[in-house]
Amino acid sequence: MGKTKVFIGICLITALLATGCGKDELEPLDAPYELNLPVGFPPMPVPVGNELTVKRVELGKMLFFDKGMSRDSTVSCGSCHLQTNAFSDVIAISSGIEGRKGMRNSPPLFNLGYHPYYFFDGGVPTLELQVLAPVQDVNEMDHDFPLAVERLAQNPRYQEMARIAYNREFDAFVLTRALGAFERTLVSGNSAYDQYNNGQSSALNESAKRGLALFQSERLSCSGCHGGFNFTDYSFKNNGLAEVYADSGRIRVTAVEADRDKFKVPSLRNVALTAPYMHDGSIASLAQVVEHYNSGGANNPQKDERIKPLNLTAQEKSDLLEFLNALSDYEFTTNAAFAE
Amino acid sequence: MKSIINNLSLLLFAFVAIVSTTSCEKDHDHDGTGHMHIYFNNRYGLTEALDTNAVKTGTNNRDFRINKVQYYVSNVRLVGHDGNEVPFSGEYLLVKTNGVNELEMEELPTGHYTQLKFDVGVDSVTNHGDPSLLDAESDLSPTNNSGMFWSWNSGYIFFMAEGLVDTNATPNGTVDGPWIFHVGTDSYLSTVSIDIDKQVSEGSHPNINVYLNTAALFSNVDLGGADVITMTMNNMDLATRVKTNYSSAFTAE
Ligand code: HEC
Ligand code: HEC
Repeated sequence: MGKTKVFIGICLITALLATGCGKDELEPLDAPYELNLPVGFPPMPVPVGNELTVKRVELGKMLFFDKGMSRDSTVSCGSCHLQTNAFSDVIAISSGIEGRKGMRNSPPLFNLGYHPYYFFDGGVPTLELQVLAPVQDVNEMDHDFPLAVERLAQNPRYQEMARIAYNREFDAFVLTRALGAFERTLVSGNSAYDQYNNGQSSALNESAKRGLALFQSERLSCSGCHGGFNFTDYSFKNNGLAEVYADSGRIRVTAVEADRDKFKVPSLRNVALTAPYMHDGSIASLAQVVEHYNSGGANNPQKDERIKPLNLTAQEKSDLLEFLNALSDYEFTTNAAFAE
Repeated sequence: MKSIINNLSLLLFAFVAIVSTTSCEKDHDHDGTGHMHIYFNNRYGLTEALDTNAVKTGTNNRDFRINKVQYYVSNVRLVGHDGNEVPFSGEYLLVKTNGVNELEMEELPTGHYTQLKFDVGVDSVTNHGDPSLLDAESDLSPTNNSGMFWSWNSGYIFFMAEGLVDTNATPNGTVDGPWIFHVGTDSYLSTVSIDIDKQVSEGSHPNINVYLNTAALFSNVDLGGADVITMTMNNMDLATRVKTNYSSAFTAE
């Protein structure tokens, strides 16, 4: 009698536990994806329900390079975000379908899982939600979201992978999650600077070491905004690109006057590979960026007080450039796991 | 050890028993129910249905047309003559320009209801939740093709009205340029209260028809001037006037 009760009790507990976590249980065909984070990187936050698995990431990668997502099947995420350039674009304003132009420079994509929000004005809170923007933007893929999903769902391979990865039919949920999963695997942290930082003192030459010291100095205060392991504090700042901005930046999403003409501080990892620069792609080369900061920038009322004439010597400029060049991670830009 | 497991399983039984009794009790709690539908309809004026082909003449002799009026209704409740509020269905309804926009409650407690209240928009928890989890068919799904989700500034458009207006310096009756009112973000949530007089008796099936007078959207708004486009954040002044206008333009019968 007692034994039966215990048995039923255990069954109930098992049943409760099983329903409690059944949704996220992985099919035996799928396996957790091991994210190999570089030394010194904190754990990457991953949303509940979209834990990284091999199939989720694989599906996300296929979708990232699938032109079928755009209305006329000519543009994929990978059209504007090129791996050779740390998933940024080589022109100031990328072309969407039919050569249409938006208003902003395509930013590089790496270490995205650490970002507290997305876009230059920070209006989107998650990678999953970010996917809605390019698909529907008239100047990018210009597609109707349900139609895009419907077309992609015709692909039997996607259907099969959706069932293994998310235990459901291919739909908007699967599309946004899988892209988010793949994007979280785009981790970059093996530049010459990182090797130096991890004890290989010969990884940086003397000029780059002087550049690093300048970068971190109070006089230049680059690391005041571009600080931390990902070289950004994700704050919104104005770095004095012009007296009047055509694009008003963060105020577009907050309507707070203090946010006018402010843009998210970008990471400087891989920066030598991501020209042209700034939200509008208005500065063509890194040397010109250094000249910009050296000049103190234009007289914009919102300009941060740290952007002021620096009086850098020619040697200092080339040291700073040498350091910025040492932030390139070629293992990342040539990693076959991220290639089309 | 064995007795701990025994006690555990007893506790578990007790828990399951309590949960099942409380959930059953609910059904026997009140004196009977009626079955109600609430229909939301767009009108132009107080009697005319909204016609998206009709060209109207606005302030300063400027012609315009309304192509689209859609909005979220949430937190619907009925207030009894004793002041008690009864939540109605708990759903989020996207009211579309035309067609049947209805909410239904099969077991509405009997009583005399004197007020209908609802919010235009969605609460802040829903507004900042993760809507990619929702079924594509849900009225709240950002992928349902209604265009009611801002993809570059995650959140819902609470109220959307769009159309065309005569943009010629001297109005000549050709409606040739767009006007766009997109009102959203948390602080723009508004609550509408309308007096009603509905007796709900056991087994009865009363309906409420709610009407939005879209002509009222344009009071204190000059479509020929600076009041042509608001996405809320870029023109909060216009968004505020539009919100004030629609919030007081609902009637019910
Ligand atoms: C037509 C070019 C184009 C296409 C196609 C495109 N993007 Fe982008 N992407 C951009 C631009 C431009 C921005 C910056 C927009 C802004 O900040 O307002 C951006 C920003 C992003 C960001 C935010 C990065 C950050 O640091 O905040 C992510 C993530 C991203 N894109 C992923 C994708 C994905 C996934 C796809 C495919 C579904 C895609 N992009 C398709 C041009 C494009
Ligand atoms: C007050 C904060 C702040 C300081 C200090 C600062 N930056 Fe920036 N930096 C920004 C912001 C904000 C942007 C993006 C501006 C935009 O897109 O409009 C930016 C952009 C850049 C870019 C372009 C990156 C890209 O991918 O487009 C480089 C390179 C750069 N900064 C280097 C530096 C260097 C070197 C220093 C020190 C001399 C420095 N920054 C100091 C805020 C700052």
